[in-house]
Amino acid sequence: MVGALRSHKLPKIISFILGFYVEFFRCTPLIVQLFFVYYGMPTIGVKIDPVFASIVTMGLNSGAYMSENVRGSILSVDKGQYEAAKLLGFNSFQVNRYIVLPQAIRVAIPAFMNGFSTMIKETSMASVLPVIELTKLGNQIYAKTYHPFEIYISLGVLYFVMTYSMTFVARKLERKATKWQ
Amino acid sequence: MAMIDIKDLKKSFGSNHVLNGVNLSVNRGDIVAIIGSSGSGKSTLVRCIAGLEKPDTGQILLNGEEYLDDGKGVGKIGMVFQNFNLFPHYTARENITKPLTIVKKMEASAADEIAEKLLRKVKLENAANQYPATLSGGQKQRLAIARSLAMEPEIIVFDEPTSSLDPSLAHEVFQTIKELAAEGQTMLIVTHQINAIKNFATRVVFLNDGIIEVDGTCGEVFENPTNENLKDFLQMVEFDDL
Repeated sequence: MVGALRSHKLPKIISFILGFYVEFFRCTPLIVQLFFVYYGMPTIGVKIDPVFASIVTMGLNSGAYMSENVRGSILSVDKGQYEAAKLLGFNSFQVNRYIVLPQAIRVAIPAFMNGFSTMIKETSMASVLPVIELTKLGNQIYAKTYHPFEIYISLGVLYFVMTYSMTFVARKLERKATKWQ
Repeated sequence: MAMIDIKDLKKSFGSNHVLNGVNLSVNRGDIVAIIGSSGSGKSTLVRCIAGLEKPDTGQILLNGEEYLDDGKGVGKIGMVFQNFNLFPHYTARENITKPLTIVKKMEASAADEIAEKLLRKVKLENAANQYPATLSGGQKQRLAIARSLAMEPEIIVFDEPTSSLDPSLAHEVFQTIKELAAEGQTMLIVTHQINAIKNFATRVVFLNDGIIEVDGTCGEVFENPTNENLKDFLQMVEFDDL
């Protein structure tokens, strides 16, 4: 939604706030963002559960990147499409809903799926907080069993299956979205 | 009363003064060809008429009323673009039916009926389920004409409809335009293809440096031009045709 909004002309203040959100999350490391939300926020009185802090931070981080994908894909739609639709009587909502978005989605799918894959892999970063996620679980099992080879290769396979299934879905969606090309 | 009445229209892009006081009246049933060299303001003029550019000063009236700011002209002015601007994700049929069902809130069956009729008219009945990407340039432009006709515009403006087409495809498109002319459709056609419009344009307007220098019948403009700029332009066009 942020990307869709930023692809249009907005009041300066809204444009600044959305731009700041996107640039802040794109220009700082995820690990710093996680530390800030979980350890930094309580100093100003906002105490957050570690799982919730991880979900919110990663959601915002991933959203910042994806909003840029959405913005780019909307801007890639030819100006002539807007003009033709306007002359046929489409209003702004109808232009976006029926003309621009179906074309923008085609452009956005590969980058979107790439973003999802990255997000799956980056969930391992939550292991820096007191959150039991896949990588931390692997570390805990390793600490008990001392079988690093088996444990980390299993972790790798699990991440691969999750990420590769996204690629598979992406290909299907791409085929569907480009049937008109 | 003229259908389109343009009074002292001026339009600049930065320091580039494109239209410098255009006055033009178009009556119902007129087929006005707008000619002139590149940069003379032809496209800007038709884009202003279509409401895609906002004039700096001057007035454009449709049936005696201002229509550009209050949405009164929506659907009344159709436009056919040089690069078609068809909706690539809709089939040929859907390119016609979608505006009818979405904008005019027409029943799908009624919209389909209109699409069938218009596709037959532009000889694309066999391509109804094809996507624009699979059509030839001429077919795309004929589909764009059909899409425009579906909204029943009072006037259709063509912005160099054949300039990106080879001669045989351009011929197909002009055949369709000629048929519309025979039916009395009011049209404004920006083109460089003088030979194609000679047979059916009721008026020819020669634009130079953002001003209409000549406005007359085909005979007056092409057979006995007196304006020096027009003579130069016609010589250039003839040279291009060789």
